[in-house]
Amino acid sequence: MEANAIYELLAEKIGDGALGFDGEAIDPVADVAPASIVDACTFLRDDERCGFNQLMCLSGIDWDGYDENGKGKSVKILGYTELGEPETTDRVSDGDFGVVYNLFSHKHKHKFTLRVRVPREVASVPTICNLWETANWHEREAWDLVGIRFEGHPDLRRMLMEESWVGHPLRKDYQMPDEWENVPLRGQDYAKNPFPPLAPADPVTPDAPAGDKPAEG
Amino acid sequence: MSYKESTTPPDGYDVGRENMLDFKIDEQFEMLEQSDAKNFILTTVDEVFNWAKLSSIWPVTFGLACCAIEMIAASATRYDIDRFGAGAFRATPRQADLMIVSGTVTAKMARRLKLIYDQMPEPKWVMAMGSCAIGGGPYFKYGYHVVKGVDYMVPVDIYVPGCPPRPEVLLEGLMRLQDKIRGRQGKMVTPKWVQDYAKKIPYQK
Ligand code: SF4
Repeated sequence: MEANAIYELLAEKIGDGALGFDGEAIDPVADVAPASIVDACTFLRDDERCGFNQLMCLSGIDWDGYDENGKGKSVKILGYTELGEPETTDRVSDGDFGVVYNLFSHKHKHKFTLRVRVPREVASVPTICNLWETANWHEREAWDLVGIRFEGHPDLRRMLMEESWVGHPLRKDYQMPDEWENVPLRGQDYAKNPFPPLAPADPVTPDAPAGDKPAEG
Repeated sequence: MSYKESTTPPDGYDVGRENMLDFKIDEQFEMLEQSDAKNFILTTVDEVFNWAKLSSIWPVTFGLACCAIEMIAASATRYDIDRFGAGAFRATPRQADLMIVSGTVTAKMARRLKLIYDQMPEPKWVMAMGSCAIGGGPYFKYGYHVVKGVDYMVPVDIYVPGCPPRPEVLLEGLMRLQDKIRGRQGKMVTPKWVQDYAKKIPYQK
């Protein structure tokens, strides 16, 4: 089925929850209100004409740095300078978060994309992991890296980073840590200090008896 | 001397020393084989032990990222790291002499890496393979999860640069490590400063 036909079915089902449709995009995408996403997904999965039995991908997005038309503005992503100094900016991130659902039907061989948009302060979307098992780990990943909370998820732990990690690394205002649990993560300012802090300045052990020194230096 | 440049001889290092220490052990063995009389060879304990050690550097099986592919290639038939006695990749650190850190050291892996290093028996060596292991490589600027050089975690003997280094370069690094072992005198333990350095870096909270 064509994507706009699918969207018409969907709009009929969820009514006000359907916010818009872009049929020109390479992957035609429908915008859905966060409150309607479970209804929309349930309909698309269970309806005979749609038959979307597979969730191909679920992605979390930080839309900071895009204007209303989807055009990119320049955003400074924070890292380290070449000298190992942390970069900072005064700019406050205010863009929305989004979640994108890519669906596929093995029966009808058609694809469809759903998109929800939530304000940055809310950052919470209802879970769909009781519809497709795949969503479980995808949602955990989106929570881990972008910090979108999926309400109702049975096991919303971090996926890639350790539990004790602070922050969500793929947010555009993420500040890189200097260390994590004593593991140093920051590079060196070799211009200021050619020796990393833990490296010994004199590699020859002073208290070793003569002849017991490493020859390699 | 900066320990970043450990492949170049430091000040005061006697380059002639390797020749001085060379008791031509290979020639002596050859003579031994050719003669049918009972024979003896003359050498030093250092020389013989170093020769044995540098001829059977067993690396621990430890591939972290794309560089590991080159390490695997180096151990396959075309490059054949076994020519240098270093082809016996051990699946346990307790049987290994060398840790080839081949790839990106992430924050999560760094603690495991330290654990593996601590489990290796003395004498042990570490080779940092690829720009990731040397200094963060392509992840230096935005790699929030990458340790910017494995030398923050464990002491490194040989740096093998490249992204990834070709197998030839890995073999070159291995030969430089053999030179290093050949030049050593005295007890074959990791020097105290290296042990102290390693102790400073905790792998657990
Ligand atoms: S140095 Fe290059 S090839 Fe090696 S692990 Fe890093 S990115 Fe991969």
